[in-house]
This record gives sequence, C-alpha cells and structure tokens, in this order.
Amino acid sequence: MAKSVGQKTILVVEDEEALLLILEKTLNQAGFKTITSKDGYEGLNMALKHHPHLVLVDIIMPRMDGITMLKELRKDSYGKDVPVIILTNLSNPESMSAALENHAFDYLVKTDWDPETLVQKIKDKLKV
Amino acid sequence: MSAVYQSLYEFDLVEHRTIAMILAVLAMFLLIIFLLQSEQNKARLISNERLFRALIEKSSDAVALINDKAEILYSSPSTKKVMGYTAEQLLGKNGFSVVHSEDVSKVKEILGDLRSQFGKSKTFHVRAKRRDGVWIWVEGVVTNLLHDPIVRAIVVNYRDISKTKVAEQQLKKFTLELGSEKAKVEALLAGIGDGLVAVDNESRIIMVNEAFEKLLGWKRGDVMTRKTMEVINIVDEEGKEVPEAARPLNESMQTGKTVSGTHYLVRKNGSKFPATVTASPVVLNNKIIGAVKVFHDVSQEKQIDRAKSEFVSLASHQLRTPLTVVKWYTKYLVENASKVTRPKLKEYLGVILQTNNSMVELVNAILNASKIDLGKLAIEPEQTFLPAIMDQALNEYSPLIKQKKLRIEKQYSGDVPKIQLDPKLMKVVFANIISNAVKYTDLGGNVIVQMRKDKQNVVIAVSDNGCGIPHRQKDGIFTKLFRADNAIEKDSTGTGLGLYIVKSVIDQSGGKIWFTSPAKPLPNRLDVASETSIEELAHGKQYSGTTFYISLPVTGVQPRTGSKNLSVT
Repeated sequence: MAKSVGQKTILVVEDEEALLLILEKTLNQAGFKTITSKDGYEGLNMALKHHPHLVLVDIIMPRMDGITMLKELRKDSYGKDVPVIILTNLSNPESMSAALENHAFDYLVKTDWDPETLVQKIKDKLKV
Repeated sequence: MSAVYQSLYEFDLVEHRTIAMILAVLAMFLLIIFLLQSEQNKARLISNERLFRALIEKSSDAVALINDKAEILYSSPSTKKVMGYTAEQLLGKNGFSVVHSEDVSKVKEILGDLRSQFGKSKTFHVRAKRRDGVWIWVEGVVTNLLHDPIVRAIVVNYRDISKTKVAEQQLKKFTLELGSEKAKVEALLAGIGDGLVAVDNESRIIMVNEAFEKLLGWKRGDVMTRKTMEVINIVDEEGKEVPEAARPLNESMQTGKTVSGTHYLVRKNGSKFPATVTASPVVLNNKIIGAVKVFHDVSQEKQIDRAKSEFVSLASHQLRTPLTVVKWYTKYLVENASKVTRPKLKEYLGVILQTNNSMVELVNAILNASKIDLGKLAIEPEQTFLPAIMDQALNEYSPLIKQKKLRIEKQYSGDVPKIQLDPKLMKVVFANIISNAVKYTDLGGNVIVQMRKDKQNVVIAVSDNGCGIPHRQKDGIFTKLFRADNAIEKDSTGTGLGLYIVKSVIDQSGGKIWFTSPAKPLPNRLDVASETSIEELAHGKQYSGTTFYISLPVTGVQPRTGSKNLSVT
C-alpha cells in the first residue's frame, strides 16, 4: 500500500484525538512515517529531537500553542528551515500573519481541507 | 321856589342828555366790540372750516356723513383710496350696500344704540366690498351728530385695516400655535428617553430635561449655569478623556454644524455608559448663541451587539473542530468504503456520532449563553423537588460515569422541601455541575452529591476528587469563555460557557453559587447516611478536587415572563 516515499517523517501536533488519528492514518497509508503529540511543548521537543521532514501543527493546544512552537522552532539550526504547515480552525488575521512572519510553509483552515488533499500537498512539498 | 324848580329841571335836562350820550357811546362801543368779535369769529370759523376740510380731505381715513337710514350724504375724497369709489359715486347710496351681509346687523345694532345718544361715538369692525370686488376689513368710528344744527348727520370715520387684521390674525394664530408648540416641546422634552442639555455660547448649561437627570444622576438644580465640562465627563471606551475641543458641544459650536458620534458619558457617581451623542449649534441672526446636545444610552444595544458578535465568533470557531472531525471521517469512509473493516467502520461512525452529540451540546450552550446575554430569562416556577432533578441529571451522565468507573454518592437529607423553582432551569444547572464533576475526575474517582435544608435555604454541594481549580484562576471560573488551564489540558473542546450559564441562572433565581478547591463536602449530619469522609475523598489521589455549592431560598422565585427558554440537552 505504501508507495516508496523514502520514509519521510512527519510530525503531527494536534490535541483533538479524533483528528490526530485520522491524519496519522492517512499519512501512514501514503507511506509516511509519523510521530505525534497532543501539545505544543511536547511537539517542540519531539521536533528538535527527531528532526522530522515536515511539521504539521495546530494552534490552540494545551501547554504551548502552535504559533509559539513555530517561533521556538525557528530559533534552532534544524528548525529554522523545516517546512511547517499550520493546520487550524483559527482564521484570524493576527495568527495568519504571525505564522507567515515565522515562515510557515502554509496556513490551512481545517474545515476547508481533508486529510487526502492535505497529504497530496505534503507530497508535493517534499517532492515524493 | 320856581327858580329852584327851574334849576332842578335844567339840571334834569342836562343830566338826561348826558346819560343818553353815555349810553349811546356805550352802545356803539358794544356794537363795535360785537362786530369786531363776530368778524373775528367769522374769520376763525372760516379758517377752522378750511382746516377741518383739509384734514378730512387729506386724511387717509375716509369720512362719510349718513342720515339715520344710513344713506350717504357726504363722502370725503379719501373714500377713493379706501373703497375705490369716488366721493360722488357713493353719494345718495345706502351705506349698507358696501357692507358684508353678515356684518350688516352688527352695524344696524350700533346705529340703533346711538340713535338716542346724541354726541356719542362707537367703534366698529366690518368687512366691506371695494369697488374692485375685493373684501377688506374696515375699522371705524360712528358719531351721532344728528342733533348738531350744523352737521345734522351721523359721522362715519373709517379706514382699511385688512393688513393689520391679517397680521393680527396671524399673530393670534401664531401665539396660539406658539403656546401649544411650547407645551408640545416641553412634553416632548420631558417624555423622551434621550437626555438633553442646552448650553449658551460659553458652554454654560441653560436647560436639561428629565432623562438627563435620570441618565447622568445629576439634579437640574446642581448643573444649571455650570460649565458642561465640570458636569459631564466624556471618555472613550478605555476611559481616556476626550479633549475639550473634540467634545460634541464644542465642536458643533466651533464648526456651526451638527456633530454626532458615540462616546462614553460619565455619570455623577463616576460610572460610564456608551451613548450616541448629537450636538447642534443654536443660531440666531447668523450668530451661534449656544448649542443643544441630545444623547441616547446605547448600553443595551452595545451589550446585545457584543453578545451577537460573540455568538457568531464562538459558534464559528468552536463548531469548526467538531465539523472538521465529521468531515474528515465521513470523507475517509466514503473514499475507503471498500477497504474499511467492520470494526473500523463501527469505530469511525462512533467518532462521528459522538462528535455530533458534542456539537449539539455546544450549540445549546452557545444559544443559552446568548439568550442570557440578549435578554431576560423566562422563569416559570412550579413546585420542584430538587433531589428528583438532581437524579435526572445524574442519570443523563450515567453512561460516562460507568465508563469512567466513578463512584457516585448521594446524600440527600429528608428535610429538603419542594420549592417554587423553574425545573427546566434547575436541570440545566445540575447537569452542568455534574458534567464538570464527571469530566474532570479521573478513572475510578469519587463524586459526592449532597443536598439539605439549612435555615431558609436548600444547600446543594457537589464534590469530586478531580483535577481541581488552580488557585490563580479561581477568580475567572464563572466568567464567560473562561477555561482553567488544567481543564483545557483534560478536554480541549469545552465551551467555557457552562459555569457562566449556571451562575446566571442561579443569580436570577435568587440563589448563590460558590466553590472550594480542594474539595470540602458539607459536614456529615446524623440524619444523613454518609460513607465517604473528606479524608477518604482526597486519599491517595493526586488531585485535590473541587466542591461546588449552590444555595437556593426555600421561598423560591417569582415567575418572570420572557421569551427565552433555555435549551436542555
């Protein structure tokens, strides 16, 4: 089932369990390796430790929100370049501009997307 | 003797002659005087007559002489000016022929009155028809000089007063209108709910209405002749003072234009309220002599606005997560229909159903909160037995209670009376409290539900040994949209509306609600069967738990009408 995508690793940081599960499942089906976390703080540490190829992160989460996590990530030598997709249901201009200022690769509103098309976007970005 | 007689006789003769002469001289003298005088009189009379004639002929007033049948014997030249007829044209005619038929009787009456009163005058006002057919108002004086040997007529002295009359009528109408306008304006000013203040060109208050007093808390007597700046402070939303030049009254006086805007006005007691303010300059003879400011309290509109926009943003944001879940799962199932195993299918459909349920709950909570914010909550009290309502609430959460293996202990004392309360509202309250206890207590935890009568109140205490409320966040717990950090961690989908709704309902039912964390259930009472002590409740648990207390007066609540019933899940 899994096409060869060179075992790229995706970190998914999402506190809503149902969403996390389905994202994980779809990414795995597409051949990605996934690591997951339900809060921004843990997610940041996992990113810095495992150096995933791409980070998919929610904004409103316990302990640390996605924007803060992105900012922290950008301070790191690995983290400054890793593609980060913000996947959220917040659509206020403040968080959008904060995400773009910190070079988020994309800012996606969850309800406008679904895992399949999201995975396609990730594939395009990682050229797999 | 005869000589004496003679001399006497002579003397007599002489005397007679002398007297006759003297008399003749006197007579002549008198005649001369008489003649002189009559000559003077004549001259005076002539000059007088000329004078009077000139006066009559040059006078703007017309003069007519009529007989007792009102036939015109003489008409002065000014008749032409007043009536349009030459003097000759009217001669011999009846005076009544030019008088309005409705006024004839009035004139006849005056003439009748004067007939026996020689030398007396009366004034009259009649409508008369000019030669060109135009009706004019005529004012005049009639004098009965029929007895006067020279005149032998009734003298009518008259002039056109149409212009005066019209002006007078207008003035009368205007005065009437003004009076009623003034009354109207006064009633209007007193009656309107908008505050009104009028100032002179030095910004000194010269008038305020009742609404001004009510809205700002100032008495009329305290503000008159004072500068508005001293009385009404205007601030922005943050409480920053609006500079003098930018105040509507000043601006309108400076620009000469009507200025309006929304500001916060500060009451006498220092509190502020949002108001739409309109100020207009008062202009007299091209000079601004003051200004009038009208302000309308928009607190309620503001609050409704806020509630509405909060509802929209809350609904849109909070609903997006469950909507995403439903969308992603159904999409997955649709696209992988052939591959999905039965157990997975059941699991995914379960997620969709559960999410949908939480959406229903969320929508109800948002609706309830906005109903509370938007207006009065309807209260429909009936004899309510609170333990029964509590049991219903517990029953509702029994699946989750079983799932989390929670131990529920009920301690209802026997003295809890039935109270006049709205059972639907109480159900919303209890369901929220139980929901929190269940949600924030770990697997195998304890929940104690106590209810008893304490003096004039029924006290309800719901204790759990869940995660508790962080000390630093205790103040915010009943505020709308507030969620404690540890609560977000446990369940990120909470609405932050539950306790806000609960507190609003309890407040409006005349009750009280408070809490302690760590938990502190009500002390045991002999008449209440109790198994769990406080120590046991906290024993071996990482968290200290929470107790929510609700106190409701046994007197119950009065019904209150309102269209807003809360939605019950």
